[in-house]
Amino acid sequence: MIGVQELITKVGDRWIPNLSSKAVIPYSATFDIQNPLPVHINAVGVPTPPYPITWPRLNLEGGMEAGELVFEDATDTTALADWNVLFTDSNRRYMNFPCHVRTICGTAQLPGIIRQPLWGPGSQRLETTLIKNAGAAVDVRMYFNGLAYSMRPGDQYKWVRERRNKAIWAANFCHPYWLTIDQNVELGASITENNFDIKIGENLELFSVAAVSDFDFAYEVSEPTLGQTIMNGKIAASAGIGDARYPTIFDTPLLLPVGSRLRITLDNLAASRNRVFITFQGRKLLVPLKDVPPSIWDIDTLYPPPSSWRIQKEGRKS
Amino acid sequence: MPIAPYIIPNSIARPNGIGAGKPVAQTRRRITPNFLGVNAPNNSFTVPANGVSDILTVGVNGGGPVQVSGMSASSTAEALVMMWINDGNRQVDMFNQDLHIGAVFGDNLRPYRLPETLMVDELRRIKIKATNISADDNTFHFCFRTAKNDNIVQDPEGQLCSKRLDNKQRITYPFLYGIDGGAVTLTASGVSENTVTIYEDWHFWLRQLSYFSTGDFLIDVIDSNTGESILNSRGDVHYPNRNTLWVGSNIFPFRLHYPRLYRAGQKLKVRLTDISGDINVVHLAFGGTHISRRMWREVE
Repeated sequence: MIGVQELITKVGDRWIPNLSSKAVIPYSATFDIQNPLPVHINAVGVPTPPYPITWPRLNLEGGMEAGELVFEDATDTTALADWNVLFTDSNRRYMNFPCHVRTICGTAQLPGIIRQPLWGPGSQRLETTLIKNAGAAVDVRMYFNGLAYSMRPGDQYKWVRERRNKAIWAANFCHPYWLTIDQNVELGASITENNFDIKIGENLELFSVAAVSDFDFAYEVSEPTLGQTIMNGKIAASAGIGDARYPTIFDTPLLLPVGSRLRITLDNLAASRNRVFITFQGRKLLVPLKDVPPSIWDIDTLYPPPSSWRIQKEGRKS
Repeated sequence: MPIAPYIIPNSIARPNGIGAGKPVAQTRRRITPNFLGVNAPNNSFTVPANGVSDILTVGVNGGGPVQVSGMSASSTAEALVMMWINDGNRQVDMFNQDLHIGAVFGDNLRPYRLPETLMVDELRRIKIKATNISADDNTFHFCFRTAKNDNIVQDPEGQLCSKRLDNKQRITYPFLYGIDGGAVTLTASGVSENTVTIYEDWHFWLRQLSYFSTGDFLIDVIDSNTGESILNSRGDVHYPNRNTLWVGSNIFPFRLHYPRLYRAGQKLKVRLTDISGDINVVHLAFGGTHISRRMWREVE
């Protein structure tokens, strides 16, 4: 986060604007299209061509740090949107499978926070695949919100340059990642003990979980290879899991090393069929755990640190 | 009287930071997020109209300890909840009486953040009882959000954390007070004088307030020893504040900018005035930290 001291400077008795603030501006990035939004998503079963997003290159040293996701679904209304999203670029995949939009994107007042900001180098493209999971075709809007850099090589904007360099450096070691079940889950009426396993192919650190469903359900998350569970039993979604706007933020990050397996057990608490979408948000660690630089682990570098983690930090002061 | 530190040690991290001097990944493996439900089948139970549930248990199965930071629940009707902490040797209250579920439990989106984290392990468990105050069946689900410190036998550091937490919880733990006698029923535009009596064995550090009511009201909280209002300066002139400005809800409790200490056995006067123009049932919850009186004597 940017502090006030970085935006104004005291000269003598006066405070003057810090000109370096011109080198970084708030920015919202959306699809590269010729016409104004919205974009169109075809009905279930009819593929929609991917929509690219090009990260801004406002100057020679550009790029963007995306920290929020927002969306609107004009047809179904935001609260009933039923489509999935998959982010990829030329050499990275940011999700294991397409995630339900209401588990990753929020609205203007309550955006979906990306706790490890997504660094987008200037002019590089992010492919966005949009897939309806139910119902007819819809028109939608979606934005990444964050900071865009606008510097030339000779500019002396020290803190901006340091921040940009840090974002580029951190992107070598980790990037945001969303983890979801590898299929559309539809639970039969009052069905219990549905197990869904997700193989963890690379080191992941998860920060929160969010879900949307037709009706209430109970869930349990465990790691069967180690016999580790993060619950003492099944927790009802109506008491224990939020959505993208208010995700269930873990009290401490959950580290899943390569080779582990995440098992999600679902019970349908309704007497009718129940579609369930669960998404974990976190980051993928791109190097072996022993090679991760210490500052990458520093939870204060996240955007923004959850309040419960701040409690831990306060506790350390005493 | 010594001044105790504002920040109470409530972290399972070592004082000099998570992972300091040791691979962080190893620490991350030991401290994991954890969620606790009650021991009812599937964490779900139904209480008939105006009935009372069995006393249910919340605990960890192996490993631990965990630190509970947030509480959330869903219920299909209004209810009162009572909680205790039981470590096998002794049982202490977590509430001074049954409190309204809508004042002290958040929902799935925004849990009620405890004023201080609460330690639970295999031996130390939360007991919980729900009283249905509606005329219909009431189905409950509970969820406690925690961080779990896996106590590995070969890990002296983990054992040290566990010991430190165990010691700390004998000195302080989170506590919630309701008004003596339970809910207050105000007549239309009526005024009611009430008290909150602090336990004899514990000092209380007030940190946050929340409420559930059927209408808006004015509130003033007065220290019965000094006559001083928590809302105003010294003297007899107290201007009460409106519930919507000063008392938060279960999902967003009003957090005091600095905790206020009330000594063991002290009484708080709580003056409530209805402004809804109708009969108004008010449930209040004063959240804070219980501090062992014995510890303070030792310090003195």
